[in-house]
Amino acid sequence: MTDVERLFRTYNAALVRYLTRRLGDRDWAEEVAQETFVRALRQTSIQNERAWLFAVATNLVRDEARKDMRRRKHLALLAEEERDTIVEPEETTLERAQEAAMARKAVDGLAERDRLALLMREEGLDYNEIAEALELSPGSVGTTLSRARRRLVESYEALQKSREEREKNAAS
Amino acid sequence: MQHLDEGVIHSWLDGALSAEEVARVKAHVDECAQCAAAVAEARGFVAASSRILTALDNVPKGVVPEVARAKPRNWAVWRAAAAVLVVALGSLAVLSERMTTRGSVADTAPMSAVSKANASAPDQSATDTARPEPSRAVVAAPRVVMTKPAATAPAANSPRAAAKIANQGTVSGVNESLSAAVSPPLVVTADVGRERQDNAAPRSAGSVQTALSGRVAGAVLPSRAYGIGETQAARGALSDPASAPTSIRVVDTPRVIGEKRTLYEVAPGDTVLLAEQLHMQLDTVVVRGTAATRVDTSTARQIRLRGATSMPTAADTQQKQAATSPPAAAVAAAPAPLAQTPNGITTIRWTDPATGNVMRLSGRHSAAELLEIRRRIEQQRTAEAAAKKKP
Repeated sequence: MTDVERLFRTYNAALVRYLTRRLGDRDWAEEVAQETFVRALRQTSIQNERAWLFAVATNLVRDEARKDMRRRKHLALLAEEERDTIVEPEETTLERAQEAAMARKAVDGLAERDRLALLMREEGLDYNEIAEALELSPGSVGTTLSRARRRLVESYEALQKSREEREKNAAS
Repeated sequence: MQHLDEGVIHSWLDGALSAEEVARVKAHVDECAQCAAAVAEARGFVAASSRILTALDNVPKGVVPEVARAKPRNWAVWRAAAAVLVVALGSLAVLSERMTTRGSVADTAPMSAVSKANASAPDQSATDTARPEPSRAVVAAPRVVMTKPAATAPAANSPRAAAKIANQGTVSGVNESLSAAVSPPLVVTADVGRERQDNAAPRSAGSVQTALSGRVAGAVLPSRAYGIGETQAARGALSDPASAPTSIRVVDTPRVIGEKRTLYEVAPGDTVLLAEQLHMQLDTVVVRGTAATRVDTSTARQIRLRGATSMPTAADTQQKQAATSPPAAAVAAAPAPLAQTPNGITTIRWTDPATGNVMRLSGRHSAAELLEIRRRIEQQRTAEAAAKKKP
């Protein structure tokens, strides 16, 4: 694989978004995406690039040992750099932040396979690609996605409802 | 007919069914109110889940500052770096007399650099420099003064640094000043701060090693020849598999607090900086930050002299290069960088699986190119490690 430039340009944005949604951490997502491309460089040939990249990225995230190590490093880095933080986070309204928190909670509540299938689908992977990346049968992707979507929406709505109730109680 | 499975409905909405299956599903939905309602509900789920997932993108970026953006004080430190650098170039006393006449056409820039160096010296307190500061990577060049306790540390860097000081000092000082300014990569080690011997702790080499990183070479000294043509050539060498075997050469390994740095030359005149953050116990190092920025008057004079001769030369080189280079627009725009400073330097970051250290690779390349460089560096390191095992 010598065409790293093309590979990177084509898939980096989607991969980073997928990983950010999966991990809730943009920096971490970028790191995993980068590692994925480095691994792609070592391959002589990849049949389905997108499925391959998403599968490798997913496996990298799954690697618990690495994840923990990275978390520790990340926290250490955060602690070191906190005082020097000069990049200001984008302005976020309270409501948007709450929505993000609820979305994160709802997504985290999904089964791993459902979550990954859904996130990959959102990045435009077709059923065959999702099946390849997650080692599913293509026929079961529809069922997986329908279950994931339903659960995600129901869970999110439940969180929304309880928040509204809390706010109502607080107001009264 | 049997009602449609929810999975089939989603497959249909996602366009994953064959034409034959689509026709069958359509026909059924037209006739079956229950399934039509299920389809409507499924559409709602598809849209809502997509919206919920979009909310996940609301992650504040910049939790970890990747590269410090240009701050006013950075320039002060940059100038200090330039000053320390120039001190190194002119540190041979032999040269000072010879250069006096040429120095009369002094450029003012080195002067201000000296004064800035002096002014910023007190800011660099020991505690400040002791803390590893990845986000200040850009300003790292002048602050690096550290030695390990002489008894325990192999002090591998220091003798090398001393040797380099001797070598480079000779080359850039005694020989024509042109050679230092023109020949890439511009790597200089500075021998400053010997006068600060008042600290009781042992000093392994008694020297301050300051090296121009890839960033410095590219960003701080615009006079350094980073012509477009050259960069393009370097890019070509990277992307063209035929010329890929061009080996990556280690030009320098400046040691700074909290990280190990390696300056690689990926193509003639094109350097990248690999910074590896090290796990360090603060009590294992002795920090001598203040020594780095002390410049006595005699060396300050040399700075002027050296600055007057070397800086314009480099500027000339740049002009020549600019004249022969294609327009800047010809250079392909970099893809979404992982971290890019306004001066066009991109940094990628990763964790080394073997050591767990955080690595940063910076250079005037796109992120994709840096990935390729990273791969080549890793290959080379692996090869070197293998060679060491087999003596």
